[in-house]
Amino acid sequence: MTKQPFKQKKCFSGGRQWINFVFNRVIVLCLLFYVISKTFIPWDYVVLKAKLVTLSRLMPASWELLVRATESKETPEPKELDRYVHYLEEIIEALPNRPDSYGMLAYCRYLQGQVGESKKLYNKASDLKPDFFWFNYNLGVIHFKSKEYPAAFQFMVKALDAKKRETLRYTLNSRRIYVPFLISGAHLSPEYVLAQMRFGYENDYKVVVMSLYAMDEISEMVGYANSALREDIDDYAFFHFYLGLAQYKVKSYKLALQSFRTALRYDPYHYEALYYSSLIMQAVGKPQVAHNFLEQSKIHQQSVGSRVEKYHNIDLAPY
Amino acid sequence: MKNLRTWISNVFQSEEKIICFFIVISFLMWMFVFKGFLFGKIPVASDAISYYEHTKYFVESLARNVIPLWDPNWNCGVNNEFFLRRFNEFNPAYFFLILSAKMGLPYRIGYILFCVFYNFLGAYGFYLLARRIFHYRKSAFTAFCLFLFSSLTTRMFDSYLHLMFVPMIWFFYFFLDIFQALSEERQSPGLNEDCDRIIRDILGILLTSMILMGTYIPFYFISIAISFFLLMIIFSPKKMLRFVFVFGCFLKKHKILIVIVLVCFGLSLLPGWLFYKQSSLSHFVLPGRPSAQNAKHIFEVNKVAIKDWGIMEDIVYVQYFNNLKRFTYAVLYLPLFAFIIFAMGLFNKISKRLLFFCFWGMGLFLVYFPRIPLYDWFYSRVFFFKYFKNLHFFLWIILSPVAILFLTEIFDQYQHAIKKKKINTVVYVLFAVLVHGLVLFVHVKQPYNINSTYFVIVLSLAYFIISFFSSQKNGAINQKLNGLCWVLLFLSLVVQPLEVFSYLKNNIPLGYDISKYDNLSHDFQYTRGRKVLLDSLKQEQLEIGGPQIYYASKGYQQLLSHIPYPVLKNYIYYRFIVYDQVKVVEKDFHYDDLTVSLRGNKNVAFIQPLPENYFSYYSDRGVTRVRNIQDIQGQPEYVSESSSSFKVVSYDSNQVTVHMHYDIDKYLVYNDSFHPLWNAAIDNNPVGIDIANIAFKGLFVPAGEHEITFRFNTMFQYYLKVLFMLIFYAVFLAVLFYGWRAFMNRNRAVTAQ
Repeated sequence: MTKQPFKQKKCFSGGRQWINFVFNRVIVLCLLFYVISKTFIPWDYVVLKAKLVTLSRLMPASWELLVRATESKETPEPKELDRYVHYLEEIIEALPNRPDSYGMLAYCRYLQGQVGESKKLYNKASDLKPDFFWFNYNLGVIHFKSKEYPAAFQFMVKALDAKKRETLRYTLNSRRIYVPFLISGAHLSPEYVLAQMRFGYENDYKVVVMSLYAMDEISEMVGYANSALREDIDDYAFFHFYLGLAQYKVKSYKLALQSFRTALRYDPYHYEALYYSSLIMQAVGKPQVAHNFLEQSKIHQQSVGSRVEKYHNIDLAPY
Repeated sequence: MKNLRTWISNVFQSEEKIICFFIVISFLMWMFVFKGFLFGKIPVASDAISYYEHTKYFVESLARNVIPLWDPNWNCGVNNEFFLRRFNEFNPAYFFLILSAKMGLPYRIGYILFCVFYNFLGAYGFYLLARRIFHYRKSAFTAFCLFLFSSLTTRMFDSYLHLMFVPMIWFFYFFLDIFQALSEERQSPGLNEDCDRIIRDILGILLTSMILMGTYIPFYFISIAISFFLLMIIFSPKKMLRFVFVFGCFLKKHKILIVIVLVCFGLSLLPGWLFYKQSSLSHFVLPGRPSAQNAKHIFEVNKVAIKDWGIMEDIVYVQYFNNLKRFTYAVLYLPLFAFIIFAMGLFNKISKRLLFFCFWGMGLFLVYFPRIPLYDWFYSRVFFFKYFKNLHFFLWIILSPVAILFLTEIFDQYQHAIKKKKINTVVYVLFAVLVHGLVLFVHVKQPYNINSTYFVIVLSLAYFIISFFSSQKNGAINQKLNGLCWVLLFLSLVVQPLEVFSYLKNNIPLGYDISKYDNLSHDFQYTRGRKVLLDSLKQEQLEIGGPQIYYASKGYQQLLSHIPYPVLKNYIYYRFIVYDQVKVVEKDFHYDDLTVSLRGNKNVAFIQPLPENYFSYYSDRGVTRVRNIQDIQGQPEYVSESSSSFKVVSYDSNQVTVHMHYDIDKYLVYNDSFHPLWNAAIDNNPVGIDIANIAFKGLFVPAGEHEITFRFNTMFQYYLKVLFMLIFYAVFLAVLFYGWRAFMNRNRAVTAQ
């Protein structure tokens, strides 16, 4: 009988020792504080708020470098763009459904020479916001510069289908990306954004026409060129020139000459229009006139250079 | 080579020598990695620029034997007390700057060296503090390195936090030293042999608290100190009681000392209190500081602004820099070894010290976490909570050091267990390998890594294993292995930070540079800035607003809000303008009239005379009083150089004396901000100063030859400053004196043993 109380005492002190051994540990203290903080602090709300505030702080103080890169066509050092890339990557991580972050990051990656990465990002942006003009436009330009004409045509046509009003609205509401960029360039106004879009549409039609010409889709090319002229897109010389090329290809020399003459009316220094006019004159048996056209074309080629090369020199837009 | 080997083996014979050696090497390595900053090639940024500017102005003025109470260079003149309170001009450490300025060292380099050595002083103080707390020298050294090679020390380049945490570290060191000396059971009241040490500690506490109470917003320190003492009472009530009892006995025998301490401490509160009272009179504005609703004082901050960026935001900010190659300013960083210590210590026993650090850190975090109701409760009831604009400062000045101490305690426990051989060898080695393997695994999985991370993991594992075998069962230490342990410990602590800090210069924001204070002249200049050719500007260019201001006089802010900036800039180009006509500003005043007048260089000053001067303006005076600006004739005299009729005779930050000689009465406008503490005298006869052109100083000058003096503040207030400075320096010298005596006493005691 005297043994029982002794046994019970031994178990009790062994249990206390065991509890002390297990729970008197740093990890338990950390877990305890974790539980207490989870209970009393609304962590999800707090962390989200903190992330948003932090993103604002991460925003580059100035987008001037990027603006300069866009306006002066000087390619900056890849390292100089790192802070923009960092900021945009963090925004994407925090807010993964923002098309503008993907778009601007794609633009920065393109400036850094990472064309493949840029395409991927623009595709993602376009998937998130298919009715935004610039993502498909930029994809079209990238493919066009890589001489991937069918893809260029496909994206440019998609861009043409985008809603102008929605593009304008989204641009001016993008307070973390596009608005600071436009402010840095002192361009924050609907008029500027609309003017940029008009210019973008003009380039869009041009790329479509040039791509179709390269793909030898002449009848479709003629259709788009005429659409552009109907929509009163600037640079009539371009579209008339390509109409002339289409007609020259099918040997409608009279119509082709008419088109080239119209092109020359808008751009008297268009050396290629003069060159093709000389070829037509040669074909119709007027060698003297052909010679005159050829001489003139050589002069303009030396003084102002190739217009077709200039047409191919289309850049991405900073979106 | 042989000599070097002998020297090295000599160093590694005693732990004190080893620590000295590695501390010096740590400092040298730190300076090497930041050499670009030290030689002025990379400028300071953000808040550090403002502190650079104002410290420079103060030091250079002091080198000319003038304490600058006014700064005429900042937004057309401001009360300099605002800036002096931010860095506490009485801090004896600035003597280094004053000395270097007098010796002709370029200020930029002198200032950076000052900040570096001030930080080193803080790091060394942290080492001494850790020596007081922890048993083992390796632990104290670990704490020192974690502190020095964390991003805390990089804050000197973009902030001013070192002005707060360095004196605070020494405060706690002196307090702990005296607490340990007096609270031990073996000590009897009235200890004679340690008297010098105790006096040194008392004076050290006094000096550091005097510095802290006069630097920036002292409530940061006050709240940290209160929380510390409360926890000390909770965790060590008996020791605290014994300390209070023994300390009381000591004070009874040193009554003069306590009177001196109390008087000095009380006086040190005066500058801050006086400034607080002055600032409630609303003579200046802080548009950049979002005021609280129904604010009773200009320094009260809006709760929404406080909540915008706090401790949590600073912690979340870190995760955007997981790629350590992107390390930049204001990103909290601790060496990887800190995390290895934490991982190794997860299954350590909870000690009282660990609990103390934990509760202290968590307590402060919860109190100053603005997104929970506890903070709102404090904000509405504790007055100084309204003055904290930057709650994230607590993360830097206290939570990070406490975290370092927490980790060091874990490390100290390991040192103890290793020394006493309390762990099974196989279990220990396996555990160390497992922890390091896990750390390696986690890092390998990260998308971004730097090479030094892997080195640290290997070095750390080697350290933990070799240190285990360096101590033997009989308590003896294998000297060679011990020496190797020190090297491994040092390398584990510094290798990664050296790489991380080397990336800082690549990631700092572009475009920052030191401002106009670099080319400041302390001699009087008749003109200010550059003249604007208003006629060449288009209408829209004339409409542009002025720069955003942080601190300025109320009048200057009003001018910036209502007058086109080019017009204002053109006007303030001249410091002195002499008018023949005045227009009293009455209820029908429009800023358009002032704009037309300034733009058209009209010969009229818009004045708001002080009430006692009011009736004199209706009596006959040579200066015409106009009612309509269309009636104004001619242009005023813009003083651009000395002449027979106008000459500046003497000038410094606080006063200017001009000699005027005109045949008729004139109205002199001094384009320096108006403040009620400015006094004027004409031929030593005091006269009142009007508010001229909304923001500046003006007064009537009768015909004839006169000397007009403008002076800021009274001579009594000036000499009070001198007295404060003497007191601070005296206390500092006393700390050094008693510190030296305590050191000599200790050496004598060691020699005697």
